[in-house]
Amino acid sequence: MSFGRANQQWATFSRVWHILNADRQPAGGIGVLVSRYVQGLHKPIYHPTSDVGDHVVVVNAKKIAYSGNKWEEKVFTAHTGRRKGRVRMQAFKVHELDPTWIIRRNIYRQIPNNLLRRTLFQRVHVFEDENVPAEIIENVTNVLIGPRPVPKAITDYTEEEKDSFPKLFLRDKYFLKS
Amino acid sequence: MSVLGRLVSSVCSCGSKSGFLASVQKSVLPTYLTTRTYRKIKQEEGEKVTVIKGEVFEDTKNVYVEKAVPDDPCPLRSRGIQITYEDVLILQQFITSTGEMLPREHTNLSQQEFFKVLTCVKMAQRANLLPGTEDQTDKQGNFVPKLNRYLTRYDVGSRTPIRSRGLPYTKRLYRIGDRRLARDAPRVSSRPWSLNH
Repeated sequence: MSFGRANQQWATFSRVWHILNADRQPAGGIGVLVSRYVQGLHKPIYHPTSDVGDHVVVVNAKKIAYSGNKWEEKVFTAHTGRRKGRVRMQAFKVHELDPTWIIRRNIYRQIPNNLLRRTLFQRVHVFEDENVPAEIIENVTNVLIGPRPVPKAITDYTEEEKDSFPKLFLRDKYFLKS
Repeated sequence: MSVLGRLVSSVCSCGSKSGFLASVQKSVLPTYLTTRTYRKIKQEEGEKVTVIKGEVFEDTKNVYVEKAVPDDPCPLRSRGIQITYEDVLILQQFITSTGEMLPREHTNLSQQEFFKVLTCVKMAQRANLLPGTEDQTDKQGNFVPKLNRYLTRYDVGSRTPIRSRGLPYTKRLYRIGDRRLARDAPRVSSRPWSLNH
């Protein structure tokens, strides 16, 4: 079977499904990355009027990280329009009520404010756990790397690595090991 | 002797950066293996008898790095090491198993380096890289759930919410990281580190 021009066209304009693990990643960086792939800015064939965006699945939205003390200091505000309708909530309380809200808000605001925004936002799928329905996992073909390089905890190192790491000072022989 | 090269490369690539002793980084800081004897308390409970022993055991896996400036007692300053909160293998040497700092008489750290290590240890504990955590209660006594965070300068329950951040020219910013670490850390670009978001 020969590889015709029609097949090449379908392959270049096909819609790809990506997956991203939000464990210990910053919320703002995820919004920038996901909006880029959803609009199709990572493709050389990009044009705003031709529909070249991809799907993105975000997993482990519960485990997002904020630098500094933003979980207590950052306040999200809203107003219902009625009297005494101002709602102010700290970030950790918002996260408690809906763990996907912060990520979805960041992604929605990073997509440009035009008539395409709502359709592109429908192609973003955010889950708080790793429990993703089978209909969505079947389509995923690519893994995205998060913006922050996650550091290793002391429990992630093996015993050999810990022992072979050089010591900076030697303790007294009467030191009581605790 | 191929062991020496591997250990030196691991020291230099573990995330710590050298400041004024940049010329020493590539050269060989010699290492040698030593054995040290320590004491340990062991408690054995029988039916009617509990035995508490002070046992002596040998630690044969100590790999010690020599100093570049031998007269300096401080282990970090004499080797030109600048630490970050991610250098968990270095920070673990200065704390106990519960997460408290060892006194300066044991470790011979200078005062500036001691406070740098202290802030790095606290930032690593809040990021769940090292053992030892603080109580998670707010100033009003409300419970703050355990969440992922990094570069937290202040205690977890000690900050109040910032309701109005202000106008762009007088904006109240979130404080991140530590000033002493950023001041001494070597920089490649001329742009200063951002301690405020």
